[in-house]
Amino acid sequence: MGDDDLRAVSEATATHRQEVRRGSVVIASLLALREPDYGYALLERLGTAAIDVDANTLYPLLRRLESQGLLTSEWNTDDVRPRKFYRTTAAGDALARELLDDHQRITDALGRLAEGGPA
Amino acid sequence: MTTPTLTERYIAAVVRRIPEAKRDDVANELRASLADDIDARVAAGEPEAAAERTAITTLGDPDRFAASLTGSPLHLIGPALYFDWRRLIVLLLGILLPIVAGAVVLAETLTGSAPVDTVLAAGGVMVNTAIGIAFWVTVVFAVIERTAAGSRPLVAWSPDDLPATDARPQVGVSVLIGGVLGLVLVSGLLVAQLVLPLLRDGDGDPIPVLAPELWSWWIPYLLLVLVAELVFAIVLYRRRVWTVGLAVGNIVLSMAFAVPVIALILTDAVINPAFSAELLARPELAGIDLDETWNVFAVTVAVVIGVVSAAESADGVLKAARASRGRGVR
Repeated sequence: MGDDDLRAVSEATATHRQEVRRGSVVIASLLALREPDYGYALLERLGTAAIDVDANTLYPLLRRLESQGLLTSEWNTDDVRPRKFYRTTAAGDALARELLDDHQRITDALGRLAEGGPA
Repeated sequence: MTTPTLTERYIAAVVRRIPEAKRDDVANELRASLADDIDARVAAGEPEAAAERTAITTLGDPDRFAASLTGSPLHLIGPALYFDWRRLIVLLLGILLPIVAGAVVLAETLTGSAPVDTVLAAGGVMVNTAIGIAFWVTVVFAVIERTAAGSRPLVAWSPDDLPATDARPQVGVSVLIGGVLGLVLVSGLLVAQLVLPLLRDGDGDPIPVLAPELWSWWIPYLLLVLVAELVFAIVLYRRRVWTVGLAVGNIVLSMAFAVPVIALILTDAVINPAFSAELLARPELAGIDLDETWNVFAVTVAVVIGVVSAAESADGVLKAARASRGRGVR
């Protein structure tokens, strides 16, 4: 394969991996924020949990989930540096469990497919 | 006064694009997030200036970042509306361009412009009309895209919209459009030549271009033929497929319109004598051989009408023939 072909394959790979990860960031955020936290700390926690997400993807996502009523937020001004804390709502928690079930089912099915068994 | 830091300049660039009510909230959250990130990088051994640059670079173009914070689209017209937008533009161009081109050609011809000027004028007006249509349709769709309606197609698709796979040539909606246009254009022009002040008489009233005697018989007759053609178009559209009977009807109607019109034009019976007299009296037309000009024009129009009618008739016959061959192939 030429350089162009290799580049096309690696670009396609990056796109596919990004698509597989996209949904898991929503689940991870909703699950993690059952314990209230601010954006940067969540970014660190997700990174530690090996869920890779960029800051410029996560911050807009938090605002979107908040506008959908899946998260609530509150300013904490006790610290020198005022921070906006997000917390998963009851609706967010319910959705997270539902999504996690879906994710688990897909993972199981993919595992069986990978081993050559019936899906 | 101190120079604003890179962080503050970045925050200002982001919140510029954020609605007023959310501005402070976004700015404060962003300030804390960037400060945390910079602290972490400095703790890891990066110099502070480099750490600030990296933290900001990670978030990227402030316009883009602001748009994703507010959830506003990064495109003018998105995938949900794209086909509605394209179909409407194609439809409007298809209907309006021929109308304006026809109107300009007629107006230029009536005012005695040279053929080259007529073509240039028609071309110019068509380009302007096309740009105008494309611009305004796009503006309207860009607005819809930014409202709640923009998240799904305006016209829901259903399997009924599928084109038939009948091997026989199908009659499309263009037949109906053609029928309506023919009637509207001709009656519009008939009224226009009555009321538009191309030339005025002694009392300042407009002089009709067409001979008034035509109203006693030929004009009503031709309008009737056009109405019949519209009815024919509706029948044809409902049948969806050309038949031999329809092809014959098509020929009869085409001839019923074309033959009298060509005869009238070639026998000089069309133009109002008062109109040509007034035209001849115009000082700015002195030296132009009006008879010669009219003859060239009349022959040209007669030939065009003849060719178009013949083509229309042949089209019906060919499609009827193809339809009878394709019958039963579904």
